[in-house]
Amino acid sequence: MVGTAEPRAAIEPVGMPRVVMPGAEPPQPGTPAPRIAASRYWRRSGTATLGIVVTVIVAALVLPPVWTLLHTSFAPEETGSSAGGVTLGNYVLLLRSRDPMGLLLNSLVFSFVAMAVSLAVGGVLAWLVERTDAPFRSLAYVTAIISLATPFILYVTAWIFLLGRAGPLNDIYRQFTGTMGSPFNINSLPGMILVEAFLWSPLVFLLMSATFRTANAEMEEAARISGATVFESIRFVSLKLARPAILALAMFVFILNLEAFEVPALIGIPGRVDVLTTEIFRSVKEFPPRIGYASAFSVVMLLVISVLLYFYGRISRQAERYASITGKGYRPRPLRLGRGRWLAGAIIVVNFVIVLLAPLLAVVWIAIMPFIRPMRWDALHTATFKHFLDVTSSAYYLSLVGNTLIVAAGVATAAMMLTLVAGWLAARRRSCGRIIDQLIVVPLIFPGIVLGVALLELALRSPIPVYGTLWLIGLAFLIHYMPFGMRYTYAGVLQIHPELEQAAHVAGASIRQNIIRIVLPLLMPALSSAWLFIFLLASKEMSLPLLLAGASSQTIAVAMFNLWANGQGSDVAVLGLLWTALMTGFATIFYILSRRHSSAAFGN
Amino acid sequence: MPGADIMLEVRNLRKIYPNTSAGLSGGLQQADFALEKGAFFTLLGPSGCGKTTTLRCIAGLERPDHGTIRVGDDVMFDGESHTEVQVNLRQFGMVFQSYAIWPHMTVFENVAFPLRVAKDRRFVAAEITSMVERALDTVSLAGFGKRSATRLSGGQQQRVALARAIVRQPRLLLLDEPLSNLDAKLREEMRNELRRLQQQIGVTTVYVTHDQTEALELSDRIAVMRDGRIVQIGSPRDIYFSPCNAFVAQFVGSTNWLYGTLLEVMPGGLAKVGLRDGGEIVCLTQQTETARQDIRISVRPEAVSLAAPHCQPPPKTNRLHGKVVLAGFMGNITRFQIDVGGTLVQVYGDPTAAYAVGDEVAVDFLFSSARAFD
Repeated sequence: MVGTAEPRAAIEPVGMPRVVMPGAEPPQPGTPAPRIAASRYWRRSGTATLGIVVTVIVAALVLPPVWTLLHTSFAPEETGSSAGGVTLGNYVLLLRSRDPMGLLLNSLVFSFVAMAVSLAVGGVLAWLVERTDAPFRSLAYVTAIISLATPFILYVTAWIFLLGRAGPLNDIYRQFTGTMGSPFNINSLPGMILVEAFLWSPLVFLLMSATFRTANAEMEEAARISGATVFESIRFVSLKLARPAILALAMFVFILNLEAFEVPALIGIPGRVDVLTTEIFRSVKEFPPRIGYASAFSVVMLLVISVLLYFYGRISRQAERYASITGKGYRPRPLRLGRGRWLAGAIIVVNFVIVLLAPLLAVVWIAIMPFIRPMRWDALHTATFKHFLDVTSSAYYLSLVGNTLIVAAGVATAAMMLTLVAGWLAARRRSCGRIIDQLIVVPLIFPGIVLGVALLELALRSPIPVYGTLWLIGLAFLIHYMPFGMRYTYAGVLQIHPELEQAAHVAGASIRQNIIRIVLPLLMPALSSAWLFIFLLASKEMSLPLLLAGASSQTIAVAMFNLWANGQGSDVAVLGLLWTALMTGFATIFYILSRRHSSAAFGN
Repeated sequence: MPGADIMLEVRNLRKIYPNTSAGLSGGLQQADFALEKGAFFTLLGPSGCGKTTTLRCIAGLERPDHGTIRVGDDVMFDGESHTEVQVNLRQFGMVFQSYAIWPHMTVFENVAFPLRVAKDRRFVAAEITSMVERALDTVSLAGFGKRSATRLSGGQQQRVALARAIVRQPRLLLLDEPLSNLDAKLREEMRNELRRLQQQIGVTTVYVTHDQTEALELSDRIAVMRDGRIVQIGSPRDIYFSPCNAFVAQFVGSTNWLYGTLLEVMPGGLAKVGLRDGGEIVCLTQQTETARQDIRISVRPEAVSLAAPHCQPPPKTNRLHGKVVLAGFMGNITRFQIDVGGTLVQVYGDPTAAYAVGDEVAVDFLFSSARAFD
């Protein structure tokens, strides 16, 4: 993911003599020495071809959506095709549409406040878990991992129930006060912000705890020895050192929120709170679709996000400079909280209840009730497994599972194969490395919904009938998740000492053999983490397939969205629960792998 | 009994790290020592011997299982009464192995930090400036104050860490393998500098290293540690010339081992030994009674001299006969390997000694330069 894997320069051993031992055996006396084919420099470099091939593939994936989007946004609305020349009509329309400033303001407020909340929650939690002796620390990890596996739509459904009119919170309020009001209104901007913040706080927690874990404890100890109190050493040293990392993470989460679709669509639209992404979705899905108008909106969003990403890049480079490698394997002595220990434990438990237990209970309740009704003891006797039976015996649902697993696994594999070579070329500054590095991060500026719009236009014009097939969804996912894979492989290659590869070449390995027999095995932990990460994200992504899926190419997330829109909440709950259970297994593997990977890379 | 000039007293210190998989691992079993004011004290030992644990307990970064740590008249830690002075109130200076230079501060701010967070008194700006400049001057970094801490070489980072450690005139200076990340030439330079600086400011210093050359050159006193215990404490000369056991003899400096059987204890702490490979020698022993037992004898390579086979041996000297296997001219010395009845003996000879491989030579060493161990 964009925030985690920071490329670190390989550590050069100090004062080690550089002696290359020729490992080849002396030629046997009887056999004639093989002639060594000398070739000219300019033909010799096999990476040149490889670099050009990879560049062409990446460019072919990345550039058409950008071009299409720009082109359509400047095309006249009536024709909607390339015939009509250039016009600013769509942008004028955008300014005249209902309340464009309000949309932008909603988007910004929603993104910023949700970012601040999830950063505060995740950050405090990460500090408590990594740096203090608070009880129940592993509970925080369990919460984060299961949340990572839960499809957003399931999560949002749960919160809509919890805070909705028939939900337990309003229900309890009514029982206590005896009135009929519902003080909690989920379909509002604060409601959206709250749910979005809960959605991302587990990710913030995981990323921040990695920051705290890999920080050099000697930095803090030096402050303590110098006479600083715990509070002073946190204020003057720990927080200052972590500041670039925290800023970068804040920027990252802000962008995620800006691009968010699930929460605005499920909570915002019914409450008539619109943001940029829902406006784009709406103008594509209404009849007749206003593609040009949506494209103009998308271009505006691309520009905003490009600016943000530029600053994100600068900040995260600074974070890398601050990242310090520990001299010794000492675990820092955790801070003794004394009586505050139990307060800290309470925070961890409350987080578990709010972020995981309550939504999960709500979903279970929805799943076992014949219809959606308030959570009461006396309703429990109507509990039924009917929905479970319906879902598990349905061939339709089974095909959804199949579709999703195939697409997610296929995309993860394709993305890793491509980014292994791309990351190697970029990290080793081989031919075309720079161009590949620049090209491959372009999809980062696409919110899922915007990429969906662009690919929709491409597919409609394409001579090959791809619209409505799984292939199109797979292609969209590949473009969308390539940058994530690149982060892992690029950082991973940087950690392989170049001499390991040089030794392979000296021993006679070709470039292909070097990549397959040296780089690939050494990168295996990073590759498998990245594979699982992309797999998990792709299998719960909703906005892309929502625009691109045809009748036979639906994924779980899309089906759940449609079921939800049809009012089949119970089926959504059952499907979601089963899917979450499956994905939790994958997420656990992902977590264990990435933890082992990072300790192998940074610890000793 | 803390005397007037005892600066650091460590009694009965113990810190064990429980290891879930393999019982106890690492840590410190037992440490006792007392240092006079101004002493340069080195904890020397192989990795995992407990030297860093000892240092971190003194610093207050680890809480010992039990024992007492006293600095001057103040108790820093006492396991009996559960007293512990917080690490930030101990007023020590410490240089870490990674230097731990804060990258978000300038050199000046790094060094000024201990003054800015001082609890016992408030330093005004002018005072801070002059104290920091004096500290930077002491480590030969005058004028580097405005430099960003990320733009320093390894040696410069080391000096900044040192300046930060001494800026407040600490009661103790703690050094955790500070030279191990420098290259060989710089290491030698910093070694001299460190000693000069310590004598100049007169601060009581505890130094941790696994490098015996550093320990011998820098220290007033050395504690050799092994498996969480102090094996021997003494001056560098004591440690080198009178090692208390085979481990110390082997770990500090290099040595030759001869194997044999104790034949007879003689007056003056000497003993007659029959070598396994033939021949008899006289060496120092701590044994007081003659008991026929297998022993090994340590002889330092520089204590051995080579002579022509038929000349008269000097008095109180053992003589063995051998053949030159290897002769390596190293400039200041010539390093020989001599095959003495099957045992290879290292000899650091005079660079002008011209024995060639294959020559028959006499191998001489004084009775008092050979030492018997169990």
